Amino acid sequence: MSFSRVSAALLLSAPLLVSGCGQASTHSTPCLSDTECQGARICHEGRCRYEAEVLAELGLAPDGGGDGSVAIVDGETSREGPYVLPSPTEQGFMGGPMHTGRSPHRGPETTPSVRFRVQTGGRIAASPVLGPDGTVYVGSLDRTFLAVSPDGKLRFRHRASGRIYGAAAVSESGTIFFGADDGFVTALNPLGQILWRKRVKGSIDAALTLDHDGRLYVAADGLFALDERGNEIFAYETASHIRSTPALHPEGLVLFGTPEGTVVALDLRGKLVWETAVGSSVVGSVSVTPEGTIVVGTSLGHVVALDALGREIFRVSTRGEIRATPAVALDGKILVGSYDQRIHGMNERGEVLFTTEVTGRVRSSIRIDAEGRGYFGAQDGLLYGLSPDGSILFRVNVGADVDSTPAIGADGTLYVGADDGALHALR
Amino acid sequence: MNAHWLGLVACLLLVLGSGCDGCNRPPEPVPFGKGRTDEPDPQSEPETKAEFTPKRGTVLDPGTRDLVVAGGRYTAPRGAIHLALRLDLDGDEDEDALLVVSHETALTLVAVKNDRGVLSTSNVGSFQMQEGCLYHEGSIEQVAPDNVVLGLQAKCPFGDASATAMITLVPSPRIRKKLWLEAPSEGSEPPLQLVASSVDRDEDGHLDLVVAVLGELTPPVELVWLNRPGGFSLVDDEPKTTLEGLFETGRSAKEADLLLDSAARLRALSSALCREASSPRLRVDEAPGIPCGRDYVGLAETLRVAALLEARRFDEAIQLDRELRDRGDRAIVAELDRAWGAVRSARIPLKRIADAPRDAALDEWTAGLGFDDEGGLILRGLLTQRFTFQGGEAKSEIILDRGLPITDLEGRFAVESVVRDCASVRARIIPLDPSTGAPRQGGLRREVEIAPPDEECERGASAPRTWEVLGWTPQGLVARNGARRRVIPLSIDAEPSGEPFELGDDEPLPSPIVGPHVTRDGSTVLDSVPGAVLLLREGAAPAVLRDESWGDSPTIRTAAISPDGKRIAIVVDAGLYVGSL
Repeated sequence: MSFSRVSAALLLSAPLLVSGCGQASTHSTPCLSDTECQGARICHEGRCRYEAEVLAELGLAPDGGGDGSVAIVDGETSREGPYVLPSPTEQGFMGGPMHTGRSPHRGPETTPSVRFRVQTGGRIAASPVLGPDGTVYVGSLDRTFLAVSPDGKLRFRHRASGRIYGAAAVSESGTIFFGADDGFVTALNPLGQILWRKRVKGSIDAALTLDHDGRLYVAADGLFALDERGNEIFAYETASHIRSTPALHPEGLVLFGTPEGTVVALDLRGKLVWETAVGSSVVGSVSVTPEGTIVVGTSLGHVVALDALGREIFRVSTRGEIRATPAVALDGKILVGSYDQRIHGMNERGEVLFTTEVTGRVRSSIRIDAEGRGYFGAQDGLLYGLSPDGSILFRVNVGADVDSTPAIGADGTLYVGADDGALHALR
Repeated sequence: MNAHWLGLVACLLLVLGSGCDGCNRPPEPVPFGKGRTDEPDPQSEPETKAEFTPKRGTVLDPGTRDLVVAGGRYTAPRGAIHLALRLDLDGDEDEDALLVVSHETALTLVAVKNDRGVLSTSNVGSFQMQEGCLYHEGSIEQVAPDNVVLGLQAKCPFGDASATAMITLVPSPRIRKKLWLEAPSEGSEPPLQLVASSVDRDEDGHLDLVVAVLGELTPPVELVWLNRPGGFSLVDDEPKTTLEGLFETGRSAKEADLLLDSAARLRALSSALCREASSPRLRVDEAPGIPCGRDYVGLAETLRVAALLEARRFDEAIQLDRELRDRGDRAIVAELDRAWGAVRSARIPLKRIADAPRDAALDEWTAGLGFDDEGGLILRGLLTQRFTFQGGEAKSEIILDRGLPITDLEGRFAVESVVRDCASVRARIIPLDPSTGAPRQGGLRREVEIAPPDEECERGASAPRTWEVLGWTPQGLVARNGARRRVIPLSIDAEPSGEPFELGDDEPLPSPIVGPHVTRDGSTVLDSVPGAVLLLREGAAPAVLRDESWGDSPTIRTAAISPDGKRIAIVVDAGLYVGSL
């Protein structure tokens, strides 16, 4: 290679070199022009950044500033801003479609007591969710779907046609959606009356994901999107059965893990954007940090972080299978439980901050309350409270293994299902 | 077990061969008409048994196809020869033979005669076994100069089949009486076996046929056919005597185990032997079963109902009770009423608050009984009355309510009636005016199937009482038939919204549920049973409620329970009673 060509190459790659050696940021991608950046991002100082963030840093008013809606123009996805997702909520699995686990409510600081239990005839593996009025909704493996008021009264009992493994999702209007292992998605009104039922291909083991548009995402033998009336928007069929609850990314991506050991990203039309191998099968769900980092646990016990293009940012090993969904604390910490009977806390760069031992395998995902406290169950029959620094706040004996992820009520009540078939309420 | 029975036969035959006390006495006249007679047959001279030595036939090696017999060689055209009895069939002092030959499922008795050096064969008779049966063992014996007794046993998929026959030799070999007991058609039926002997039971000098029906679980039954001048006559005190004895033993039993034991024994024998059973296993000369005089199979089932009641398994008892009552046999209904009357019951204070109408309005009265959400009792008839209760007193007022007791949660639809025919069982749904609860004018009625067709329903016959609507839940209707409960999913517009399915035995009902016979939370259900009301509560033992003032055999027309489960209303004969729970 001639000197001039080397020089040109060096010159062209200088921004890359500078940015690569300079900033420690691991969640924005290097670039030379806006066209190299995905979605609504621009190339600023050699890195892809959201325009709104850049303008805010520079103290300038946003240019035009989209309302965050996604417009489809001539078949191409065109965005006027980041895809807007609901704030942390108790109306869906893990606090909403990004699965941060964050709750708008405060949970208990000290050991809570049992308020009530509602018994079903089968294990409760699903995570409870709450309606806008605080009604608790949860399904059981005995095919029962319950609605329980915050004071413990049964509002309705719906006998589904299949076993219910995943959490329901509740819309702002109070419509409740759940899936069962016979492949049926059922929509009920708050009285428990059937609005519609729709069958997808394969059994539904995962929770349903509802976005702010009322669109429902269902994982089964593929990834299915339905509108609020149950009409199919798209069907992305997969060769194998998907058990990972779909997550939504601000870039307008629908994300899920596969048994083949990949994370798949689809656009809102159901078209494949990318698929990245993460090394072993993914049973839990993907979560998305507010910065857009995608985090997932694998069957080999790895916590893997990807960027919005599916490129690996970091990988942390634990000693046991990870079936839970990683949670993202208020300070950006990533928390996840493993079958190695530990809770692992790490920062957004993958640096391990703490490892907390418990006495059972952890299948449950961690919920983060408004104060940063964590709550989760384990297969030792205990429900745990975790302080923001990772130390154990309390342990409560539920009496049976807890694989379900807790929900946090507005009054601080923790709701969780257990292997004894009961919905437990503690405060 | 088989060796034991064959030994028993041997013993019986030894007794026979040892002589007969009455043989040298003139036979006493036996009245004709005792039992049933077969076709007339020439009466031979009384056999002089004392001078005759019974002759047992030979059991041949399996697979034998050739036999030197009657001065020649007989080859079975198909199959194998199992038994051979060498004897003189035609009085020419040459050896003849009776052979038992099997081929596939047929067993044939073959006579082989030596007619002046020429072998001739003829089929005396045959036994057709069921599919899957194979000959196992047998015996053939000349018990008198003119009589041969044959016993056969076959191995079948679910047990053994057995046959016995009395063969007379004069003027030519002929099967005079043939009994065939088929093998059970499934493993649950107990095994039974026939063991025959030839004894002069009535001491008239002629050998009679005595067949013992033996089983491990049942008492032995002895069937006797007397050898009459007019043919063989069945002595008809059996199996009646044994069956009656079993039934009375069951009737007097108090414990569920003993009741079930008696029921099982009675059922085992009666279903196998009696012509009244649906498919008796016994065939007598190709005719099915023996007339027993009563439906002992049905009576055995009434003992089972009594056992279920004693064990407080009410759902199963109700189911079986209804199936039996539908047969329309008065004796069975009487036994069922007796069983229900013996059930331990609880008494609750009841107050008679109204007299029922005596005409067709009683049906409407009965169909429309129910409590409203405020605990008032609604009695729907020509005029609708609403009863309220304060301080132990009931007050009534006439109201304009023309509603129906089973509605959806919002009062938009109601079940008007249930239609039952051989096509299916359907709930007729009508739209209501939510403000008045009355049927909406011009509203479209719709029929929703709540149960599939009854396979046993005969066209033209009235369909038995089966499924009824228990109540309306947010997810649709719940129907019940005894212990069975079925969910029929309906949308908020009362349209079918999925395949109906049955709930498991211990599954709770969907809730809330609106219906007159169930509490709102689905935890307590009422049912009317003969002479009482049954209270079925989740997680608690069922309770039977009755009142002494109702008399011995009251007719419970209907009952209703308030949504909160605190009050109950019962229509008994001609009165309406209310009580607190």
